[in-house]
Amino acid sequence: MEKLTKQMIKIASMIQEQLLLLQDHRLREVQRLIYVVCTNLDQLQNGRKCLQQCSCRRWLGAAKTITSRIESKLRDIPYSVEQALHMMSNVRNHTPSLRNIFEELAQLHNEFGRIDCNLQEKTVSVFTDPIELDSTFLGDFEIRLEIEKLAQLRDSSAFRIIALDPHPAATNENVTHPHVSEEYLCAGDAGVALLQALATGRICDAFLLVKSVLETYNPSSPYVSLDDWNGISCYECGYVTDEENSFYCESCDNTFCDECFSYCRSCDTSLCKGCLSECPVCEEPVCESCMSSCNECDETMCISCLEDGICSSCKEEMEAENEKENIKAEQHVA
Amino acid sequence: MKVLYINNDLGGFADYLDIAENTTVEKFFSQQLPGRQAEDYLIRVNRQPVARDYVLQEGDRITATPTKVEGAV
Repeated sequence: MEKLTKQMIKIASMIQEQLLLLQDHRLREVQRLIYVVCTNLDQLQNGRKCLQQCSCRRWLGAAKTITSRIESKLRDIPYSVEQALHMMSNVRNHTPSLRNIFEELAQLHNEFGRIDCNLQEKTVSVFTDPIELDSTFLGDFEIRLEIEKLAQLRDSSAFRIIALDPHPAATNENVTHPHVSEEYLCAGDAGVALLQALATGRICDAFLLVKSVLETYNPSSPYVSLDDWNGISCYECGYVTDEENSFYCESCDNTFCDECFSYCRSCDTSLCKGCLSECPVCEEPVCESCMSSCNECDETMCISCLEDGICSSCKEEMEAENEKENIKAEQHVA
Repeated sequence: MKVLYINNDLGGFADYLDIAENTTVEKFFSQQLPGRQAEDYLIRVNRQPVARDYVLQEGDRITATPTKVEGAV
């Protein structure tokens, strides 16, 4: 326990350091935004002076151009002021004390029953119980906070969601949860509260919000719908079917839905449509081994369309020639 | 008396509030989040779980974290 306490103190210190950096970044951003506001105001003032000159000298054409510039500035100013005010509200947040952050980590330990502090990787992790959403089992997850990402806090990407017993979607193995793709969570409705919690050092609240998102399913906006979660994805079209309605192609070693699967009309071997060719004569799907070429014209077709290695059109031609020769022979005899 | 209330729902904010003496956690919740079910929130006072009839004290820190939050893509 003493070892964990020491680790938690070190982690708290790392978090505080990152939050101070974040505050510093935000202060710089406030300065930049105020500079934008000031520049806009300067340009507006210049515009006013120019307009005054134009008015005195009756330069109406120039006045028109300057007016449109002023108009554009007047539109920009409220936007830049709003941005500066928004950033200033973020700067007002106090950086929490080391004690506060330590208390957050202690609470985190109490809420989840276990906390892993990795001082080298600079991460803090907790572990969920196995999660099941709408009767779909997803397994348990590690929620890992990457402390070094706190200073560039923009979205929930400071967290990584690692499936410990992965049950990914059939269509995409990188989607281990309807709202997790490639180990990153899309926090959705929790997004703003999550950022606010992290920026103010309420680490436990942030972890609890992530857990709440993981334990809730939003059917209107998942990476992969739970309806399509299980089953087998067709290699050709991606359609998800259950095991009974999926078919294995021995030729290409992939699984297909019934729409993308067929059989050779010559030897009855079951294959995917991609491994079957259409015979140019009878237009039926046949496998590669049932395709051959005519001994006379060399055209490729299914063996059913060949008779003694010769296609029907060549055969007809040969018969016609034979008939001609026979007639000639008869005439010769006569 | 003053308490610190941290609401982790939607925008997520922290604020000091003036509340009446002898306010229970249950009453406080219904005042702050009217129409919501207490079962859908993780409520902590001074980082600890408390009974619904716990009477709030001056300087208490109350957090309400929703347990059902919809993610997206």
